[in-house]
Amino acid sequence: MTKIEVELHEDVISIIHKLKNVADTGVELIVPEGAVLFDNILNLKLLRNWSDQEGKVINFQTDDVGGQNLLMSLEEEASFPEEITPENVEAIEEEVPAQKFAMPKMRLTLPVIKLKKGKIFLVLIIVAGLLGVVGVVTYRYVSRLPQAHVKIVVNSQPLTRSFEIKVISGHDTSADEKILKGTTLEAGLDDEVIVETTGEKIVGEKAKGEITIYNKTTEEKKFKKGTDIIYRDKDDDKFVYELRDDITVGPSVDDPGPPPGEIWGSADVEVEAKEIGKDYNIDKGEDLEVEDQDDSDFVAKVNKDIDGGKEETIKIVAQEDMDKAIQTLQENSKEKALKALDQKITGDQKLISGSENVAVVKETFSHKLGDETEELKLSQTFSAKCLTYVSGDLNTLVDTLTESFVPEGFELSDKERAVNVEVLGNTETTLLNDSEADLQVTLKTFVVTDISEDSIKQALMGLTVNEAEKYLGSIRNVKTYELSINPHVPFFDNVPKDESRIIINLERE
Amino acid sequence: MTLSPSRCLKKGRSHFDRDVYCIIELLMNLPFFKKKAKKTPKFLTLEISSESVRCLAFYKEDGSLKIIGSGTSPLEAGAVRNGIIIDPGLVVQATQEAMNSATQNAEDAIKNVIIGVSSDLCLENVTTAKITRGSGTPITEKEVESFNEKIATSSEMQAQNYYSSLKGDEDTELQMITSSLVYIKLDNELVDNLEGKNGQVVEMALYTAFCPTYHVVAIQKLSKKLKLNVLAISPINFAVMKTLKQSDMESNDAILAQVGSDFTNIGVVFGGAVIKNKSLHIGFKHFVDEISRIMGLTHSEASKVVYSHSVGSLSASESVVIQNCLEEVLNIWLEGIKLLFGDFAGVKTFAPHMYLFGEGVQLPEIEDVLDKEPWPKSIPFKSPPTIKALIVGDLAKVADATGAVVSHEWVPAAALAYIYEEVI
Repeated sequence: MTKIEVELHEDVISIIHKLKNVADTGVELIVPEGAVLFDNILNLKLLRNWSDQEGKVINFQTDDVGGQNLLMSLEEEASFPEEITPENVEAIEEEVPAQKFAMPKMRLTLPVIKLKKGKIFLVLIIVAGLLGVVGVVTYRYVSRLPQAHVKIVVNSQPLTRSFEIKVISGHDTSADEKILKGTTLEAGLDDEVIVETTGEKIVGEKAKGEITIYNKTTEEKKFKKGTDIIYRDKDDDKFVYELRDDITVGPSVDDPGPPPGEIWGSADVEVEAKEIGKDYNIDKGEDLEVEDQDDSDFVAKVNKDIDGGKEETIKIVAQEDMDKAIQTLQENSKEKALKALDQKITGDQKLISGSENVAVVKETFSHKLGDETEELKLSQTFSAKCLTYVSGDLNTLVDTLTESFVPEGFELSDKERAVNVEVLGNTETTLLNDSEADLQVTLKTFVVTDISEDSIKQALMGLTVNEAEKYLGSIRNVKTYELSINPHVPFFDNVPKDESRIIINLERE
Repeated sequence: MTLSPSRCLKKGRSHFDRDVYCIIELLMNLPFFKKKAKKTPKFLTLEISSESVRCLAFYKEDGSLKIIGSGTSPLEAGAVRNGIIIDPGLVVQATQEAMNSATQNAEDAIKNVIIGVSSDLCLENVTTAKITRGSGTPITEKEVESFNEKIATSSEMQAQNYYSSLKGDEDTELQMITSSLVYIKLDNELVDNLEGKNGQVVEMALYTAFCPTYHVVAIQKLSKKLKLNVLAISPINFAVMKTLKQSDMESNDAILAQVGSDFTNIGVVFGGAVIKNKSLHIGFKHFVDEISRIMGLTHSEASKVVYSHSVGSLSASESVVIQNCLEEVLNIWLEGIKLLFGDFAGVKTFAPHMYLFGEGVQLPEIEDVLDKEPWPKSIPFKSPPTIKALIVGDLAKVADATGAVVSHEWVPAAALAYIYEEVI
């Protein structure tokens, strides 16, 4: 049972902390008169509740009369419904029948050796020799058998520290400036995407043919190449053609008859539709107008079918197609680029989340805007960057920053150590990019007594139990220790001289 | 010295008037309260906790109680423990500093003061007595006095027994500091007073608050040294109940939870009065101590960190550290709260309205843990409890003219102002 002396002003929280550090299931609390613990019975109830949960038994030792009264009333209050009564014991005994153990019976028959008197001496010498050999072998075996088991419980204290540090790519780690060395990793990626074009363009042939222009005036008329000739269909839709050559149409002349009349001047000329499309195909004989001329002066007529006009819609590259290709590729490739970046992270390196940056360094389209094509291919080269640090470097920096908080004779524990890193992001006062980042680093660990297992082993080798206990008791900041040498062999109760047979179990408080 | 409340239960006064006169008469009969209170609209309220002394200066204007100054002065560790003044010298000094700060803008000295007694130090109780009269004649003044005497004696005995079971100490003398009639029934009908009325069965419920005599003496000495005119000494819970009754909040059946600096007190309210209160000796100081212990900070540094945490000025990661530090002690505290509720023998169901106030409430984790953890499962609440952390803004009559009295820890000192209306 471990004894704990409670101080006068120690409150229930502090006592629970102390109890938590005791491995023993039985604890005796020595409480002084007038202790704060006895200010309120709830303190004792809370302790009882806690000890029940932890499976510990707490005994109180106190001269405080009020405290004794409280403890008594607490005891009276507690009930033990499962208390073992004689009836219960009887019931238990009935359920578990008593077992009888008996040793197996053996009979040994020893051989009978008959010796002649002259040989007795020789036999005795041989037996003595054999016994000697057995003795030496046994000594060597037995002397190697015992192991010293040392359990040392060292003091430990929880330690939590939080620091704001800066990770800078290429900068050396500096505890004074709270800077951690960072590395910018870069990964390249070539990727492409093909999208169907959505732009449309109408292509085709212009209709061609021959017409005759008639001059009803008495003056010769010249028409220049490109003069518009107009055809109106039955719906009065207007189709425009143009002359392919300059032409002169002679004047109208009198026809003496009989019967007398007029003969219009005429000239044949080739025309071509101004636009593409089959709608411009018209048959021979259709009437035409001459642009800017009155029908009473000039008319025209198709004298050879105007045909060959046709049209079709084809796909071309639209701006939307190019935008879509860029967007699709970037969406797909950003993830691929980050994966490529991830693969570059090795071992102990840690990526600072949010520092990743993916940029396009080269971009090529298979077609230009407006080009006739069904598909558009975009090829891009990506460059992904991120900021990383090495865990080991961070631990070293945190240890250095924490050094001043480690009490003398203690060191930071490797066990139950938790380093929490939180990225502070881009704010007015903090940065986050692929070359610099601000982090909030929190260390939660314990500081434990600074002792070396090897040096303890060295010091213990060959010591008697008393000497070993004296040595263990003299080690600074050791809370408790236990030493046992097993198996116990008479005359071999010293700590073994063989280091490998000293087993040290260091436990923090 | 123990005072009987019988004198305050006089005829011809309404039930509510009696609360007032009860406090006045009890206090004014104490030798150190013999001075006549000056009828000035300015007065002070004082709350002495184990961490600090808080003082508020008030100006009563029409229906409102205007805060015209505030002051707080920290106390050295050990000067006050669970409300008990251990080192009077340090407390006098801190009180003077807090008062100076609170009255620095007041044109004249303010000497009238209302002093709060920590809930932890008060034993609050409602004693019910049922008396069957043999006579059919109207109730006389003498009879009323006899009833009062009986019920007062009974409540005193209950308080003494309870104190003994709580502290294991039968020798400490207790003194009644407040009493208030909860109700009077005559033949099962509520009445304002008994005298001159006919009836057979008289039922009375009396709220009383007792505190150790040595504490009253300590307050006497403190006020004498500071030349203060004590208008009233009031249990904090009693003052908070006054504020609830004059608000829209539920005040008939509720739970008052004061998370003080080194204690947490639960007061069970039924019928508009605290029928019983109990304390757990874990409070705000223990939470700060835990942060101090784990983070390796001094108590003062840890207090600053807690303040920054409570006003939300810490970074997310720093707040996580604080929350981690508090996790273990919060669990112990919550276990204690469960034990505390389990300790109210005789309360079959608890009202679901729970009002939090006091220094500890500035830690958001306190309200969070009560709100989110499944602790009420093991406690017979009528329905899942609703937690409300009181702030000074909830006190309807109090108007803060300084703008500095906003946080939870000022609620007790501000609530004491409601007592002023009763005593002047």
